[in-house]
Amino acid sequence: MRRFIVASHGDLAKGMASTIDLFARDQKNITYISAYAKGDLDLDQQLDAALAAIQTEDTAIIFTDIKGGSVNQKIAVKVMDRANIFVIAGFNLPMIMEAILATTPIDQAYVTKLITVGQQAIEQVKVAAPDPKLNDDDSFLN
Amino acid sequence: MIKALRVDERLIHGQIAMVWSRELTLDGIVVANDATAQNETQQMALKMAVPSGIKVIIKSTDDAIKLLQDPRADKMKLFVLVRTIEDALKLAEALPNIDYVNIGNVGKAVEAKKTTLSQFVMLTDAEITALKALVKVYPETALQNLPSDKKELASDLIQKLGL
Repeated sequence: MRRFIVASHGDLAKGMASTIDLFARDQKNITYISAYAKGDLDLDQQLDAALAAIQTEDTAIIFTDIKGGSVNQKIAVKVMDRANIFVIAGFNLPMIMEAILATTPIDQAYVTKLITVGQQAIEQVKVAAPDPKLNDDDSFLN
Repeated sequence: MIKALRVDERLIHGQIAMVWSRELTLDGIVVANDATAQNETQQMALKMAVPSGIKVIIKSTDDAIKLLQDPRADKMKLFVLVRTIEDALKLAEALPNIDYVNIGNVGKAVEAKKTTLSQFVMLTDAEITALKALVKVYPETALQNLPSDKKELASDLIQKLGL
């Protein structure tokens, strides 16, 4: 099974859960971990429970918020001997959406591709004046 | 061919760009909305939301019907978006070849007395009248927000809620 963990400092991961729900409801293969947030379990306990749920026949990607953070450090060390688990630091919504909606098997090549998807999704936005030719029937239908 | 006609007051937005267009494997998106066809700024914003590789055209409802009646449109996999149930009814009455009439997001942007049909669909009395007519033209018309959500037949809801 393809599995995902989204982990962050504070409630960013919980917020991601609420956002993902608008695009892909009832995802049973994602766990969200908000570290150091009020009322949450100790981070090690949360991580160990989430990692224990990943079986050897599963493949998993763990998205962390920032490479230099303690959340990422802890995860990286915990999964260093597990070849079926990949860690990506610096997640964004397009990258996670792509991962969830695709059915591509998770391997090194896929993880590399996913990082490109996330990087390419970050771009400056400029509204372009519409080209009237692009709104005529012939250019649309041909 | 029209893979789907969807009523969505946000027209092209995240769910369309990221989820529906992937599910339907589209050649093009047709926005049929009279106000947007007159509003260049809104057109620019909507076009920005379209995923690369998918064509987009924004037309008044009358012009969209003409476009969709062109035989060349039959060879394309198209997703047609309208903002209101009334507009969907107008297109449905003119176009006999719609694979799926879908009610997505309706009613959050409207300030009036509304009846809640689902978490995402709240209709005014006029829209309920239009929905009843729409169901006569396309009996399989269904409420479905995301492709992964269960389809709920509009006709079942109309009956269940006694509308």
